Amino acid sequence: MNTIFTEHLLSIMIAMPFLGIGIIACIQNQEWIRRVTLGCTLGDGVLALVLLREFDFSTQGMQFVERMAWMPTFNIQYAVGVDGISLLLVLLTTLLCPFCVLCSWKSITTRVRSFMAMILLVEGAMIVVFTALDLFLFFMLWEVTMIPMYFMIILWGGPQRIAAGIKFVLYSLSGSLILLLAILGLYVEGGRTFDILALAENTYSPDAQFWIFLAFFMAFAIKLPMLPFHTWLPDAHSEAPTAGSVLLAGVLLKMGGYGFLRFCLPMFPEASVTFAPFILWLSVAAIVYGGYMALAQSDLKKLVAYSSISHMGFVTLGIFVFNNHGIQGAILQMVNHGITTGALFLAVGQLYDRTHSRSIQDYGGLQKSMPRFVALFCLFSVASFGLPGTCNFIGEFLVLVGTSFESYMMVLLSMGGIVLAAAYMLWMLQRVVLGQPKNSTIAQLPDLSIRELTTVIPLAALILVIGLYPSPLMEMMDSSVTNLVQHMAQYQVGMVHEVVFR
Amino acid sequence: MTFLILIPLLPLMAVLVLVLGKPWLGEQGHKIGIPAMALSFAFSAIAFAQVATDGAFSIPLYRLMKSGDLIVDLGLYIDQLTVLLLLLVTGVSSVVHVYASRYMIGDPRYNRFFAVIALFTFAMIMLVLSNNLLMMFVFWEIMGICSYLLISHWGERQSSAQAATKAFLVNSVADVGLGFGIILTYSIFGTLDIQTILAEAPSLQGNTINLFGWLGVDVPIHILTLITLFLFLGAMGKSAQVPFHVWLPFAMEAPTPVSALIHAATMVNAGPFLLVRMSPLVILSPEAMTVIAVIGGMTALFATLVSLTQVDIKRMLAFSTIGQIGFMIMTCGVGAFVISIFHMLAHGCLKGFLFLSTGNALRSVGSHGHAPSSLARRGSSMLSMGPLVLGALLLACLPPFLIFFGPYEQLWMIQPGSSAQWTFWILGFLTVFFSSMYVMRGVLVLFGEPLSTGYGSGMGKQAMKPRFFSPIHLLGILFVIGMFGSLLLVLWSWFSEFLSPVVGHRMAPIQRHTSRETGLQLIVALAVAVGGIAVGYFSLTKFSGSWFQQSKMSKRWYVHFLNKLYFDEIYDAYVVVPTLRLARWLWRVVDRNVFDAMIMGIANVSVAAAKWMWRVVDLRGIDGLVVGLGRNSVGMAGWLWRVVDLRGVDRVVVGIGQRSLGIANWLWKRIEIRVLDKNVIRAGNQAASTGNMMQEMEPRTLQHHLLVMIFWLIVGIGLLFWLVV
Repeated sequence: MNTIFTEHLLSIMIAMPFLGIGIIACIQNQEWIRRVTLGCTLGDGVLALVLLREFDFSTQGMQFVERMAWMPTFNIQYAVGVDGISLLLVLLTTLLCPFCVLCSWKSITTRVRSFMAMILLVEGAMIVVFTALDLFLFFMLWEVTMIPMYFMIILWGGPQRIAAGIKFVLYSLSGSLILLLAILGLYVEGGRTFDILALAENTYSPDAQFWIFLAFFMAFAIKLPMLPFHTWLPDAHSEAPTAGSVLLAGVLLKMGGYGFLRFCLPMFPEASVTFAPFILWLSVAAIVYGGYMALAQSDLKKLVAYSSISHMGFVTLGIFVFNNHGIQGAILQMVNHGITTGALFLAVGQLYDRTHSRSIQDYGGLQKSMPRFVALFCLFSVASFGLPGTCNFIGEFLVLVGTSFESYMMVLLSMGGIVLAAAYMLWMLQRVVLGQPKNSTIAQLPDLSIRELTTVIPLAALILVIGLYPSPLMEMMDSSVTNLVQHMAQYQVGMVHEVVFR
Repeated sequence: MTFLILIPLLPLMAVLVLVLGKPWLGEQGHKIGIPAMALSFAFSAIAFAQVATDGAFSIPLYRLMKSGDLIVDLGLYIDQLTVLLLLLVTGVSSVVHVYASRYMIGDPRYNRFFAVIALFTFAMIMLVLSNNLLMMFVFWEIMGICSYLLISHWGERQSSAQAATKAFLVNSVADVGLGFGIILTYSIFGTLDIQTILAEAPSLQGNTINLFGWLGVDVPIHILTLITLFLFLGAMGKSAQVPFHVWLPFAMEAPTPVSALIHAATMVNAGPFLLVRMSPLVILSPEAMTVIAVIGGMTALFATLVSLTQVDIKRMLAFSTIGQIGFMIMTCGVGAFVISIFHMLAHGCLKGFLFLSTGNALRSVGSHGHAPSSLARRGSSMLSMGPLVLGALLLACLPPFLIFFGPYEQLWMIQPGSSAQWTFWILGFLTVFFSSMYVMRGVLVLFGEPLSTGYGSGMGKQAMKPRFFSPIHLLGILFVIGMFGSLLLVLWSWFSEFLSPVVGHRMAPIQRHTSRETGLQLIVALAVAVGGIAVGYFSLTKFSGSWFQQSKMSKRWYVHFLNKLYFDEIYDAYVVVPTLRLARWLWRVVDRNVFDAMIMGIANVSVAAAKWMWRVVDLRGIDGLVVGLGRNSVGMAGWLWRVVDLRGVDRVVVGIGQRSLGIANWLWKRIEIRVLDKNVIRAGNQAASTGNMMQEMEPRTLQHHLLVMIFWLIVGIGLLFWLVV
C-alpha cells in the first residue's frame, strides 16, 4: 500500500498531462501527436482507477495527502489530497478526457498539436483544482483552466466564436477576480494561511462569513452557472468545438459545485444557512427557466447547453438543503450530467461532422439512415431528462427527496422542470430522428464508424450501469458527505415551510 | 423459490440477445422472443401454484442505494395479486409474440420490434413484482418509453411521430403526480417498501399536513388523502383517465399487436393495479376514494359515448378500453378491489383477442379495396371476420356479466338505497347499453363501409393463415376458459378468497345477497346489452344514417362526441401553444434583453471606469503596446520577429522579409538545430494566425477587453497590497 508510487499517486496523475504536453511538443507526425495524447489521457484514467482501488472508503478525511513548501513567506504550499467528494470528480475528469481526444481525431485538422496540448492542459489543471488542499494552488489552476478553453473557442470554434470567447473570458475573469478577493479576505481572516483544511477548522465572525461567502458564491455561481449569470454558457457551448463543449459541460462547470462543497459549506456554515432559501429558490427558478429556454432553441448545441443550466439547478438545490440525500444527489448529478451531457455533445458533434449544421430544422428522419447513431442518441436524450433506469434519474430523485424536507412546493416546481425537459428532448427527437428525411443528403448519411462508436458506447454503458446500480458511487462519497452533513446540522433550523401535525 | 427470478430474467435476456445480436439475426427475432415468453409464462404458472399453496413470498435482489436513512433494497414480492397479473402479462405477451411473428413479416425493423416488446414485457413483470415504490416508478417509466418506441415504430409518418411524443408527454405530466406521491410517502413514512408502508398506514390515519404553510395559510389536509391522490394522478396518466386520456387514441398508430399487448391488455392496467396494490392505504381515505370513483365513472361514460361516434375501428376500440378501465377505476373507488382485478383479467384477455382479430380483419378487408358491394366482402372474409364478431359479442356481454353478477353484490350492500347506489346502477346500465351498441356498430362499419385503414406499411394482402397454430384461437380459448370458467360462482368465491389477503377491506364480512335477486339483476343487464346490440345493428342497417343524426340537438351532441369533446384542441390551444410561446418570449426578451444586457452593461461600465483610470494613471507605454497589438494584423508576429531578431538568429529571415515555410526550410538547412528551430517558426505562424484572428475582432472590442483585464488586475493587486502589507 504505502509504496512511493501510491504516496505520490496524485502528483503522478497531475504530472502526466504536463509530461504529455512536453512530449507532443517534440513530435512532428500529427497521427503520433494524437496517439500520444490519447495514451496520456488513458494513462491518467488507469491511474485514477488505481487511486480508486487504493482509496479507503471508510474514513472521511483526506487521503493521498502530499505537502511541500512552495512560497514559505506567504505560507503557500503545494498540497494535494482526495476525499470521497473530489475522488468522484477526478474520476469524471479522467474519464471524459480520452473521449475528447477521440472525438477530435478526425474533426480537428488544423493546429493539431496546440489543440491536443489544450486538452492535456485542461485535464492537468482540473485534477489539481479538484485535489488542491491549498487555496492559492486552487486559485492558480482555476485560472489556468480558463485559458485553454478560451483558445479552444476562438481558434477552433464556430462562426460566432470571437464574441463567444470574449463573453466567456469576461465572465470567467470577473468571477475569478471576485474569487481572488474572497481568497485574500479569507487569508487575512483565517490566520494568514492558505491551507484549506486549517481554514475549514476555523470559525469566522458572522460579518466575515457573510461577505466572504457572498464573494465565493458569486464566483462559483458564475462558473456553475446559476440563473442570472448563465448567458455565457450557451454561446460558449455552441461555438466551441465538440471536445471543448464536452470539457466545458462535463468537467469545468463542476468546479462551481465542487467549490460550494469544499469552501462555502464547511467554512461558512452560518452564512450558508442564511443564504440557503434564496439560493434554493434561485435553483428552482433555474431548473424551470432552463427548461423553457431549451424549449425555445432551434440549435442543437444551444438546446443541450440550456438543458445544462436546468441540470445545474439540481446541483445547487441539492447542496443547499444540507442533508445526505440532497448532497449525495447533487454530487451524483454532477457526475451524471458530465456523462450524459458529454455524450450528447459528442453525438451532436458526430452529426455536425457529417452535415456541418447544428440547426434542428436541417435534420429529420435520421432513423432510416443512421440506426446505430439514433439508438445511442435516443438513449442519451432520455437519460438527459432523467428517465428512470438511467443515471440522471438517481441524482435528480435524491435531490428531490432531500428537498422534500425543506419544501414540497420546490419539489413540485422542479418536477415541472423535468416535464419541460422531457418535452424539449422528445420534441427535438421527433424533429431530428423521426419523420421523413429532409433531403437526399440526410437520407444517405453514413452510420457511425467503429472509432465513433468507441467514443460513445462506453458512456452509454455507464449511463445504464450507474442508473441501475448507483450504490458503489454512493458508498464512495458516503462518509465524506455524512461528515459534512453532521457539520452543517449544528447550524440548521430544519423544516421551515410546511408544518406536519402528527 | 429463487429460480422464479427467471420470470423477469428471461425476457431481459431476450432483449439483450436481440439488441446485441441484431446484425446477425436476420428476420428471426421471434425465435428468441417466443420461447422466452412461453417459459416465463410457465414459470408464472409455477409461481401461481406456489402462492396458492404457501402464500406470499419475496426474492431479494440487490441494494440500489443507501443515502442516510433512505435505503432502497430491490426485491421481487410475489403474492396473490402479483401472480394473477403475471399470468395475464406473460400469457398475452406470448400470444402477441406468436401473432407478431407473422404480422410483422417484411417490416424493416423486425428485430427492433421484438426487442422492444420483450423489454416492455420485462418492465411490466418487474412493475408487478416490485417490492418498493421507487422500483415501481422506475419500471413504470420504462414501460412508458417502450410505449413511445413502439408508437413511433413507423416513425417516418408524421402522425406516428407526433402520437409517440404526445403519449409520453401526457404521461410525464401525470407522472409528476406519481413521483411526488412517492417522495411524499418517503418523507412521511421514512421508507419506500410497499409492505411496510401498508402496515404502517393505519397508524397515520387522521394526521394532517399543511401544504401551504409558506403562504401563511392554514389548510390542513389528511396525509393519506394527499398521498393517495398524488399516486392516483400517476394512475390516471397510465390508464388514460379523463383528462389524461388524450394519448391513448393516438397510440393506435402503433402496429396492431402492440395495441393489443400494451394499449389494451397490459400497460394501461397499471393504474388499477397500483390502486389495488396500495389498497390498504387507499381505503383509509374516503375523500380520495370518492375522487377516484367520480373520475372513473366520468371516464367510463365519456369514453363509451365517444366510441359510439368513432368510425375508425382501432380508435373505437381505444375508447372502449378507456371506458372499461374507467370502470375498473370506479370499482376501486367504491372499494371493490377484487372485482376490479377480475374485470381487468377478463378485459385484458378479451381486448387483446379483439385487437388481434381486428388486425386480421383489417387485412382481409383491405384486400378488397373500396369495392361498393359489402356482400362480396362479407362472403370472402367471413373466415377472419368470425372471431371479430364473436369477440364483439363477448365484449358486449362482459360488463353485464361482471357488473350485475355476483361480484357486485358487495357493492349493492355498501349503502343500500342511497344515491350512490342509484348513480352506480344508472352509470352501469348506460355503459352496458352503449358499449354493446358501439361494439356491434364497429363490426358492422367494418363490413359496410370502406374504412380509413392503412395501419402498417408492411401489411400483406391476405388474411392470415396460422403459422404454428392460430393465436386467435389460442386467445379465444384462453378467454373462454377465463371468462366462462370464472363465471361459475364457485370460482368467484374462490377468487375473492384468493385475493382477500392483499386488498384493503372497508368493512367486516360481507352479507350475501340471495341468488334470486342476483339472477334478476343479471337478466335485466343482459337484456339491456341485447337491446344495445339491437339498436346498434338497426341504426346502421335499417335507417339511412345514424340515429344520432335525427334531431338538431342530437346532431350537435353527435358532433361534440365525434370530436371527443375537443380535449385535444383545448390542450393544444391552452397548454401546448402558450408553453411554447412563453418559452420563446422568455428567450427573446428576458434572456437576451435582461440577463445578457445586464452583464454587458456591467462590462460597459467597467470599460468606462477603466478608461477614466487610464487617463488618470496615464499608462502610455502599455497603451502603445496594446493599441499596437490590436490594430496591427501581424503585430504579434512582428514582435516575435523583433525578439528573434534581437537574438541575432533571425536577421537573415527579416532581411528576406518573408514568413513562408520556405524560410523554415532554409533556416533548418542553415542552422542545424532541427527541433528547436522548427518550433520557433511554428510559433511564428501561430502568432501570425493569432494576429489574424485578432484582426477579425473589432480593434475597439479588443481594447475594451484588455482594458477590463488591466483594470481588474490593478484593483486586485492594489487590494492584495492593502490587505497583506
